[in-house]
Amino acid sequence: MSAPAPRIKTRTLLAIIVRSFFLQSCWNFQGMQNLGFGFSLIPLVKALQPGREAREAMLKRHLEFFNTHPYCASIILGVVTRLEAEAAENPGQQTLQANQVKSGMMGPLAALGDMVFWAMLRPALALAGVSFVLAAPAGQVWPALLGPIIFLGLFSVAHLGLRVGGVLIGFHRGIDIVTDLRRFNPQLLSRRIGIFTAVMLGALGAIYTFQSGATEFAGRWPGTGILLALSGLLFLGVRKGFSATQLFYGLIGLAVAIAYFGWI
Amino acid sequence: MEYVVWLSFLGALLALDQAMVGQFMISQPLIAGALIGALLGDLPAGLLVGAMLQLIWIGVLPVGAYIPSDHTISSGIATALTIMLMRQQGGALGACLIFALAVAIPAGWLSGKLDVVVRHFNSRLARQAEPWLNQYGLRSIDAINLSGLITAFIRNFVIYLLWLGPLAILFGLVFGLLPLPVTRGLGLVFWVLPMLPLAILFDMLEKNSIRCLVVAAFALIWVALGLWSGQAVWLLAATMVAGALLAARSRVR
Amino acid sequence: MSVHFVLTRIDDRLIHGQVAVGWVKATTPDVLLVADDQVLQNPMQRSLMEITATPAFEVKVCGVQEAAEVCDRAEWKGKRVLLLFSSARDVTRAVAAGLPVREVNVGGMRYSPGKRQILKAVAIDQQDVAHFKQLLEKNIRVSIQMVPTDEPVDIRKYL
Repeated sequence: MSAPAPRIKTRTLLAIIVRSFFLQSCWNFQGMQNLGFGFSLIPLVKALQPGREAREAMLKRHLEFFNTHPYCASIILGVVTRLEAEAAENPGQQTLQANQVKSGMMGPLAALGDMVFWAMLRPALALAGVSFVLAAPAGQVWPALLGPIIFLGLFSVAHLGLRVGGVLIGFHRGIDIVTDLRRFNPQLLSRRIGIFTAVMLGALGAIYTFQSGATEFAGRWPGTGILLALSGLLFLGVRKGFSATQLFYGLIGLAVAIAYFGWI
Repeated sequence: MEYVVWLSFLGALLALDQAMVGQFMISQPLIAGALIGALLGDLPAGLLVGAMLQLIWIGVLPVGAYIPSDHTISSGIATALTIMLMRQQGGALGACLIFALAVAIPAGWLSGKLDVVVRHFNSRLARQAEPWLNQYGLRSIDAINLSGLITAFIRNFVIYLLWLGPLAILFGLVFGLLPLPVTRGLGLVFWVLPMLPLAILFDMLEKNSIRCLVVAAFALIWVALGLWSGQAVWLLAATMVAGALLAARSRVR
Repeated sequence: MSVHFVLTRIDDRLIHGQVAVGWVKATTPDVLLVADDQVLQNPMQRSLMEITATPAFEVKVCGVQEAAEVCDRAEWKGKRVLLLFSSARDVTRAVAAGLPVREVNVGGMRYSPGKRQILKAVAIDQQDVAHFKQLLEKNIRVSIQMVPTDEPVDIRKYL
C-alpha cells in the first residue's frame, strides 16, 4: 500500500490493544471469537463513524464468525484498523474489504500461533523454568523463584511484544504485512527451539536423576532397579500412545502394588 | 474455613487467565503454584508442586477451538490440597502431591464438561448481539462480551469451593486412613512421574540428531554435577545460555 | 492412486491450529494439500497458507477439480497427504472428478443464519445434507471429529 497511513489517534490504537486481551471472554461455538473481535474494535468504530446508525452498521459487520490464535489476532486487528480507516477516508473509492482480509488471515495465523506459542515457546520456556525449581536446594526460595521469573519473563517478552507490536505493525503496514510474514521462517524457529528444548531436557533429566539418587528409594537394590523399570515403562506407554492421565493413574496402581508387596 | 472461600475466589479469578482474559500465563501451574503457595504461607512447597504439575502437562497442547480437560483448575486445586494435606496430616510432600493430583484431575474433567455448557450459553448470548445492538447501541456488545467472564468465573468458583471445602475434608480423612504401603507407593510415583513428560517431549523432538543432543546434554550435566560442588542452579543457568547460543547458531538448509 | 491419504478433512478455516498442530502430530503427513478455488485465485490467501509449512510438512494449494490429478502425479508417489476442503460441496466435486477417498473427516463448518448447529463446531444446511448423502451413497464414510483426541461421530445421525 503506497498511500500514507490514515490518521488514527494513538489513543484509539492503545484502546484496541487493551480491549484485545478480552478477545475470548465470550467465546462461543457459533461465532467463536466474534464478540471479542467486535468488542476490541469498538474504539475504532467510535473514532471513524460519527452517527449512531453508521456505528452500529460497522460493528455489525465485524460480528461475523472469527477465530484465530489470541496473540496473533493483534496483527489482524491492526490490518483491519488500517483498511477500515482507509475506507472511511475515501468513501467513493474501491478499497480492499476488511472482512475478506480478516477471514483470509485468521486460519493461517491460528496455525502459526498454535505452533509457535503453544507447541514451541511455552513447552521450551516452561521446561527451563521447571528445571530451576527442581535444581534449587530444598528450602531455599530464591534460586527456585528464578524458575517462574524466567518462564514468565521470557514468555511475556514474546507474548506482549506481539500483542502490542502486532496491532501497531499491522496498522502501519496494512495488507503488506502478508509479505512481511512470508519472511518469517517457522522452520528455522522450530529447529532452534528444538535444539534449546533438547539441551534443557537433557539438563533436567540429569539434575532429576542425580537428585533422586539421594532419595529413600534409590541407591540400593531393588529401589534403583524399580525406578529405572517404571521409567522405562513410561517411555513405552508414551510410544504406545497412552494419554498422560491414563499413564498417571496406571503408575499409581503399579507403585502401590510394588509397595504393598514390600519390594521397596 | 474462611480462607477456603478466599482461596477459591482468587483461584477462580486466576483460572480466567487460561482462556477468557489476558492469557498472560499466570494461570500456568508454575506461576499459579507459586501464587497459591504464597497465599497459603508455604511458598517453597507451592513452587515445587507447581513445577511438578507444569512438567506433567508440558506435552498437552491446546489447539484452537478444542477444549482439553482443564489442567488449570486441576493444578490450582492440587497445589492447594497438597499444602493443606501436608499441614493437616503431616504427610510427606511427594505422597501428598500425588494424592492431591489424583483427586484433583476429576475437577479438571468436570470443568471441561461445564466449559462446553458455558460456551453453548455464550452462543445464546451471541445470537442476541444484533438485536441488542439495534436496541441499546454499542454498549450492549461491551456488556455481552464481559458477561462471558461472569459465567466462567462462577463455574471456576463453584468447582474450587466444592473441592477445597467439603471434598477436602473427605480427602483429608481418606489420606489419614491410607496404610503405609500406599503412601510409600505414592511417594515412589512422585519420583518416577517427571520421566513421563520427559518421555513425551523426547517423543516430540523431530530429528534423531536432536535426540542425540538430549543424551549428550544429559551425560555432560551428570558428570558436571558430580564435579561441581556449588549450587546446581548456576550450572543450569550456564546450560541454558549455552543451549540458547547453540540454537542461535543453527541454520536450516 | 500413488499417494496415501492420511486424512481428508472439511474445515472452512482450512489450515489452522487443530490441523497444523493436532492432526499433523497424529497423522504425520508429508504434504498438506489445500484444495480450494478461492485460495488458489487469491495470492494473499495462498501465500498465507504456504507460510505455515514446517520442516515436517510442505503446504500446497490446488483447485478442487485438480485435486485428483495432482495426487496422481509421479513425483507425489508414496507421499502421505492430508487433504483439506472448505465445504462438503467441494468434496463431492473432487470425488466426481475422480478423487479416490474412502473416508471424510468433518472438522469445522461455521454457523450462519439458516444452518443448524449439530455439534460444537459444525453447523449444516439442507445443501450440505444433500452433499453428505451423495458421499455416503458412494460408500465413503463421513464422521465428525474436531481433533484426534475426540471421539469420531458418524454423520448419519444428523442427516
